[in-house]
Amino acid sequence: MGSSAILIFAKPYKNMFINVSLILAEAFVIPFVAYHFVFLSSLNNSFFRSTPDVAAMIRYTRPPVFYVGLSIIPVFVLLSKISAILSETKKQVQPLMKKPDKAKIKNRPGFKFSDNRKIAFSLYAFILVGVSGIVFYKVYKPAEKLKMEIDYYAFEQDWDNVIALSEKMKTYDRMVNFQYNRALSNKGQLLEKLFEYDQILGSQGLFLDKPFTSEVALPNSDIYFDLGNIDESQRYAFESETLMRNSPRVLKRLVLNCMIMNNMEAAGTYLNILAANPLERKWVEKYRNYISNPEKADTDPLIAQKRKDMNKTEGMIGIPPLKLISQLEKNPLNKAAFEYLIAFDLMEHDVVSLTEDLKYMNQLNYKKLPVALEEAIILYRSQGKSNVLFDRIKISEPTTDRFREFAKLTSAAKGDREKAKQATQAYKNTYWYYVLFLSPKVTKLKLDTQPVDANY
Amino acid sequence: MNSKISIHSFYLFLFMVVACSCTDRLPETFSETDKLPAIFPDYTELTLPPNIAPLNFMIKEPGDEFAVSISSKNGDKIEIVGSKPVIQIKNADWEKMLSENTGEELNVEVFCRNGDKWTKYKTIKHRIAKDKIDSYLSYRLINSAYVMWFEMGLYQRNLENFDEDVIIQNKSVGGGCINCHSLSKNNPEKFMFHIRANFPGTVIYNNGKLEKIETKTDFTLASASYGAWNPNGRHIAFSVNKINQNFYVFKDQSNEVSDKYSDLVVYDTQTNILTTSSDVSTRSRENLPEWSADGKTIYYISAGEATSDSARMITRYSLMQTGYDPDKNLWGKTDTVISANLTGKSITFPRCSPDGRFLVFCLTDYGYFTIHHKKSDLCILDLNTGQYRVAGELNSNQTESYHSWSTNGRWLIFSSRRLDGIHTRTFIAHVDENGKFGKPFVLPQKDPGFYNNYLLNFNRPELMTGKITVSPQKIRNAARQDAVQVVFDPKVNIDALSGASKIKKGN
Repeated sequence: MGSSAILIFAKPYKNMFINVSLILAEAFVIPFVAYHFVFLSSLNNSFFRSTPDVAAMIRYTRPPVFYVGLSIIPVFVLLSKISAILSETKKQVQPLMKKPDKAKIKNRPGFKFSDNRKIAFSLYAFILVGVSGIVFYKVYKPAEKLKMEIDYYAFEQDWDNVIALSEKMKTYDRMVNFQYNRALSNKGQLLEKLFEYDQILGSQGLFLDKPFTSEVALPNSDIYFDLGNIDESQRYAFESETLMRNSPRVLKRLVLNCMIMNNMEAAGTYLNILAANPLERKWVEKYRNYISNPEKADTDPLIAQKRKDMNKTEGMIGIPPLKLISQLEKNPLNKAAFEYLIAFDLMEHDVVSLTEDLKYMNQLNYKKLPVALEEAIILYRSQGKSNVLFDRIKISEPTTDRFREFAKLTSAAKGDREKAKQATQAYKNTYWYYVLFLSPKVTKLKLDTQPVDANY
Repeated sequence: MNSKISIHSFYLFLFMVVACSCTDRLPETFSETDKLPAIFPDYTELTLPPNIAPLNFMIKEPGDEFAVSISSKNGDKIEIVGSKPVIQIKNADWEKMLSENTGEELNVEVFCRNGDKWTKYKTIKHRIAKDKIDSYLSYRLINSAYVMWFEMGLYQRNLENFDEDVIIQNKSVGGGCINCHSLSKNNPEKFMFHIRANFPGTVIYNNGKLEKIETKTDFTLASASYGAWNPNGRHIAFSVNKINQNFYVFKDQSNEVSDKYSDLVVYDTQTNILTTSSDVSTRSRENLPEWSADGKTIYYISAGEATSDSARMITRYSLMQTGYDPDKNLWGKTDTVISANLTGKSITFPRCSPDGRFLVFCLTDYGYFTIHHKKSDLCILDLNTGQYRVAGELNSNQTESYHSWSTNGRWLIFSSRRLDGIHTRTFIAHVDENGKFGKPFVLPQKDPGFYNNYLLNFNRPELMTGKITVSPQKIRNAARQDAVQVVFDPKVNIDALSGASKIKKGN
């Protein structure tokens, strides 16, 4: 509108009036009339929204620099207009002056009459590139980009890349922490390397049940799928589908969950929707085959394994550890569920639950005690929280030596917490460091939530 | 001249070639089988309203070519032949056939060709009822989520064709939740719905006038929830609820919606007064009011006080009634109609037939919010005899839930998840004067494959005698206004109340 208004500037009066009227009509009257008779959204959206709204977690923000970028075009139009007016003025003035010798000007080296335009054009191009560069620099968020890459690799189950990129993040992000933990779990290393990452939110870096915001719906469906709790995975997949209709990721999750739960009719419905996406044809073909031949679904390794893992006891079970226990009661070979359960107990400093839950370890054929467990048991022994079970467990020498060293360093700080934290930096990747310095039970760190995001 | 004749001859020849190449004819030779054809949706052996939209369907039998013949006692046959198994019947032909044959049988013959052999399947026989169904249906379209929402809206569908129009969408109210729409005697001139989260309140459309009210008062627990209009079109009974949702692990169900507290109130649209009585505002949980046909009795469900989380969720509701004279604002005594102790189950969603003879309700193992209860079934109570039965002819092994009567009492629509166990669809069934139901059929769609490609749920279907003509823009404008505060009836003896508000305030 602004550009159009500038362009008709300096036209003969009659034309200008008509053109301005048309521009105003288009810019103001049409949205206004449409608001009253066509659109169902607010007046504000009728004027200022040109695309359908999306769910909160995939919405773009509009910082001030966005509007700066938007104003580039009318500014250029204005500059072009000014330049044209100046050229016009010059043409009118020139006949009053002595007519220049064109032959002399033409042959004069360097400067030519049309060079003004070239300079102007170069200037505009420079301004355009310059402003674009500034805008890009201002809006570019490398951390956000990295986060999206991590999310992508998690979806692709490229866990090595998830771990590598997570370690590059300069600031803490709960979702990155969450995917890092998932990656470790899928590599069978959760209890070996859990504390190599700053678990500053504790158990809230494992599960995303609370607080429930739009951002967590699909990732939480993913983790429950990993763990074989298909009911919970499906529940969060439904939430995701509400927020991201026709998303291939969500539809695939729904298809798989339905097949695992033997609901082929519903799986077929989701496949039909996904089939409209030409990029998903192969995937759709594979799983459509399972609908016509359900015995193929029975022998699909992923589906078969998840059917085993989803077997669980019934009851009113709200919190993640109880969900995991319900699964382990029916399928004690669910290693991922076991490791998440122990990780939860460790993060919560829950010695009692830890002792109780270690009973599920018996059938999992660990060749050696995971590092995090060793570190926890030796710590709790040193704090007088030992018990019969802990006393029976032999801790490896390297862990014992490291603990001695850690204990020496913290003792040397003589109660000065900051000093102790600094002194034990080399042990940042241990459960001991987590318990003393990083755990939210110590730091009192709480998640910053935005309730309004819970439903929109 | 010669060239003109040549051109005309050419076009005539072309026309004849095209005309002859159209094989829009039923096969003349075929073998027969006494098996009914597999079709989707299952439109076989139905009782149809004479004003229903065409029952388009897909043939699920193998074939290279398909033919369908639809005939009845009067009028021309409808014949459809094609290479695709999708059968879409022209609206005008269908409408003519039904209107000319009310009370008669409607025969649907299905043929399939494999190679050069045609097979004719057993004829599908429907009966065209004499009783029309209300011409419109309103419903909310929502996703399958439990907590989150994004887009939703109330829509109205013309049952005589496939036209669907929006009544209101939640983007009109800043993405808030639109819910619990209801009408007075299926009258599109009298309807209401609630808005939550953004621009909260209750919008009422009453004979050309739109208004918005706030139903929460100092003496009631919360804003009004489940509502039912009195047939007089003036009073609306509501429940006020403290609703919880829990997620847990039970086979075939992962969540439960339950109330910690609930009471009943009645709102007078003329005086803007909200009233209640000590009998329906107790420590028990009174919920889901429904008026009798004469508007002088309120049926509702009631369960004991929720003394714990477990008691709150795993609870059984009885069917109750209380007298209420809306003209005099006088409450009668409460009485148990069907006790949960007798049924061993929980009763919910009571809906009275317009002639006052029957009451349909849902029966489930516990609780009242049955849309997630696979075992929820429809039952019918004969109000004359006091006997009820499980309406086996309506139920499936999936959820049967919310239902609504047509104004002539001859049709029942209800929600069911029988198609795929996840998505709620609307089903229609005929009811005879003895309370016997015909086979239910799913709401017809122009594309017979619609339900295999649609992820939204048809929530709270309500029949309407006509279209809601007030524009969505006007409804939006009313919804965005400030709500007028209702007034709590000053004649109510507050001290006599023992219900939810008093419990919550520690009284």
